[in-house]
Parts: sequence; C-alpha cells; structure tokens
Amino acid sequence: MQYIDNIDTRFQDLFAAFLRDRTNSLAASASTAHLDEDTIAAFVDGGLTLRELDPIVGHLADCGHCRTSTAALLRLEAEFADAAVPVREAQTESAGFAEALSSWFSKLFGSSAEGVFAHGEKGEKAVEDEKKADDDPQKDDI
Amino acid sequence: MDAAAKAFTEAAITEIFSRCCENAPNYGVLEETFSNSVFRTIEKRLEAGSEQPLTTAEIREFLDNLQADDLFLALACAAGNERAWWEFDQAHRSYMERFARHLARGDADPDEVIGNVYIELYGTRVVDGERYSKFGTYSGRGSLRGWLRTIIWHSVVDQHRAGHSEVSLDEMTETIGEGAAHAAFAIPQAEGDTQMIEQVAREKYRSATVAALSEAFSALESHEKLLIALYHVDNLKLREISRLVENEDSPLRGWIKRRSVSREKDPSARIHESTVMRWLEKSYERILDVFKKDLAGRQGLNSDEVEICIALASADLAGPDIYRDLAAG
Repeated sequence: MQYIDNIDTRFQDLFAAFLRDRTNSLAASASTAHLDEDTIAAFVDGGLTLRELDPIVGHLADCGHCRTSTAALLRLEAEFADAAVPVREAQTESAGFAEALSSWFSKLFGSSAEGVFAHGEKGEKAVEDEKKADDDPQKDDI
Repeated sequence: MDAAAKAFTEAAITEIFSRCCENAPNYGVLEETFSNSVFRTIEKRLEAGSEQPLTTAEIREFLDNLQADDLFLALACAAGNERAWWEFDQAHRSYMERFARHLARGDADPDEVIGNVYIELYGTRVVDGERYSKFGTYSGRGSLRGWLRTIIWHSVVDQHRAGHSEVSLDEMTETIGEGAAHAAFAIPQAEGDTQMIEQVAREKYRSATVAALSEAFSALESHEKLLIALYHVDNLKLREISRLVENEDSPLRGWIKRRSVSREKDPSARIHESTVMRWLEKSYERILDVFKKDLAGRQGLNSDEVEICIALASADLAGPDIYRDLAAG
C-alpha cells in the first residue's frame, strides 16, 4: 500500500477522469429537468437558504450541464465582483449608443426612447415637485 | 403550509411590500402581484424541496434573504411600467453592456446580445392574451444583477450556437472541459493473441478500479461531490469556489460547514482558498480510503494488484504506452 500512499496527485487525476467520464455518461442518459436560470443565478449569488440548497447541490453534483453553467457564472462573478459600476453612466453615452438604445425602446414600447427617458431629464424643480407628489397620501402610485 | 405559517408569511410580505413601495412609489406594483410571486417561490423552493413541514423560522430566513427591491423592480418592469424601465436601464444597462462585451470576445455581437436580452426582458410573445416578460421568471432569490448575468450568458451561448449550427450546447459543454475525458478513459484496442490476453488482464483490473472508484464516489456527500467536480471537472480555481462560501452569512457556507463539522477542527475559521483546499484534501482522503478498502477488501486484491490497478488506470489517462511496458514485462 506504500505505493498508493505516495500517489495522491495521480489518484486525484484518476478520480477526476472518472468523474468526467461519469458526468458524460449521465448526460447521455439524462432524463431529469435542468435547473432554470433563476435557480442557478440564486445559487451563484449565495443567497439560498439551507432548505433550498439540498436538492440544488444534489442536482449540481450529478448534472454536468447545469454545473458547467454554474462554473462559468462563478468565474464571471469572480471577474466582475470588484468592478464598480459607474452610476448614471448612461448620461455620458455617445450619440451612437443613444440611437441604438432608442431603437431598442422603440421595439419594446412602440415609441421612441424620448418618452421613457423624459424621467432622466427632469430639472431640480421637477424632482422636488415629484417628491411632494410622492408624499401626498391621495396620490396613486403610477 | 399550515394556516399559522401562512398568516405569518402574509403579514411579513405585507411589511416587505410596504418598504418596497416607500423606496419606489411610482412602480405601480400591486401587493397581490408581489405576494403571489413570493408565495410561488416558497412553494417551488421550500415546500417542494423537502417533505418536512415548513417552519416559520425557515420562512423568516427565506424572506430575510429575499432581494425585495430587485423583485419589486422586476415585477414593475414585467408589467411594463415605464418609470421602472427607466430606473432599470439607468442602474443596470452599462453593467450589462460591459458584461456582454467581456463574454462575447469577438464571437458574438455584444450590442445584439443586449438588444435581444432587452427584448426578451420586455417580452414580445403573448400567451393567453398576456405578454410574457422574462422578468416574470425572476424570483428575488439572488440579486437582479446576478440574474442578469445568467440571462446574458445564456444569450451569448445561444448566439454562439446560432453561428455554429452543427454544435449542440451539450457538445459545446463537452468541448469546454469534459469531452476529452471519455477518450482519456477509453481502452486502446488490442491486436493479436498476445495482446488479447493482456487485454483480458487489463480489463479485469480496469473493471476493479472503476468499481472501486464508483464505490468511493458513492461514499461522498453531495457537497463533497460538487466541490470536487467544480475543481477537477469544471476546472474552477479555489478562489472562484471560495466565493460561494466566503461570506459569513452565506447559507451554503453554513450548509457545508454543518456537514463537515465532524471533520473540521475549527468551524469558526474564515473560509478562503486554503479552507476549500483543506475540504478537498479531506474529501480525497476519504475517497482514497474507501478506494483502497474496496480493492483490498470487497474485491480481494493484494497490494501488487492494487498497484497494477492504479498504474493501468493512470495510464489510461496518459496514453497506451503502459500496455506495451506491461506486455514486455
């Protein structure tokens, strides 16, 4: 047994190959549904409760398809975690992108982006008026 | 869910909803819509996930982890509220663009990806008279930004597949990391009588090895299987795995530690890369132990034969040369 005791690395490689082989075999015969995007995102975010985790971890341990998505998102999470997002970056966007965005909103709302972005063009007075209106108990939410 | 738990949940949701309304009074989300969304998720995630009765403590933990404001925003966007869409666009678009650019790397058009994602988020498909918005699938169980990353990632994959129509997602998955394994574990074809005898011997030890590996794998708990697979099959770095558990409040961290407590000498220690490495090492110790016991015990092999099993199986990974050495011996 001395030989085995000195082969940790080789054994790990061997076991990893066994797992890959097993994963492929399971993928070929998979009949269960995969995890949805919301579940994978929540798992990667780490916010699921203990009760929620059991079935998800069990599934990920066996499903290479879902684990590959999860692993890719974990990598991306690590890459983007420390990248601060500039607030209101859109206000300095180029005209070219604004046009592109306008096009998307046209597709979405059937109108130009102006109506949507009117919110962003309010002056201080408008903001104050809105705040007052928000405080008004008679006011509807919309 | 019993009546008391339901009443507790309804009261808690009302409280959360009020806070969301204070934070975003113009989104126009109805309490009924918000409540229905949360109850659907409770049913799907908590009730369906276990046969144990749901306790108020579990519901409280669930609601404490709810990304309520993100869910509120998503529901408003799903309903087509323009103010909500503007806020969403301001808060997330530039991030989504950077993420899409990073993912695309010349293989997909990031602007097209984001355009498609926006259209999907708004929804152009009508089901039973109602527009189907992708936002409706967001449950608030993780951050909205994390959810968006997943949506964008899948969109990039879909665009990649559209440009490589002969490649399925599974095949892509295999190409990424797992495909080579099948070939690596395959047995080289023997030729001639002498080699046939060798192959019989090889097959005997190979079968014994695979059976012992299978036994060892079965002995692992789910979280150990997942950690090992993420590290060795999906090739995640320790740093990337440790992100899952580095947060003190991470339920997964608590979940793993609770299951590792009998083997973990210092359960209060900060979890980082070295901790994950230690977990992996402990799992491998267990695997190796079960593996050896299975070969020597259940399968009755002596130490020389165990050596052969390891050598043969390892050689499967490296190539067929070992079989020639065996034949020469």
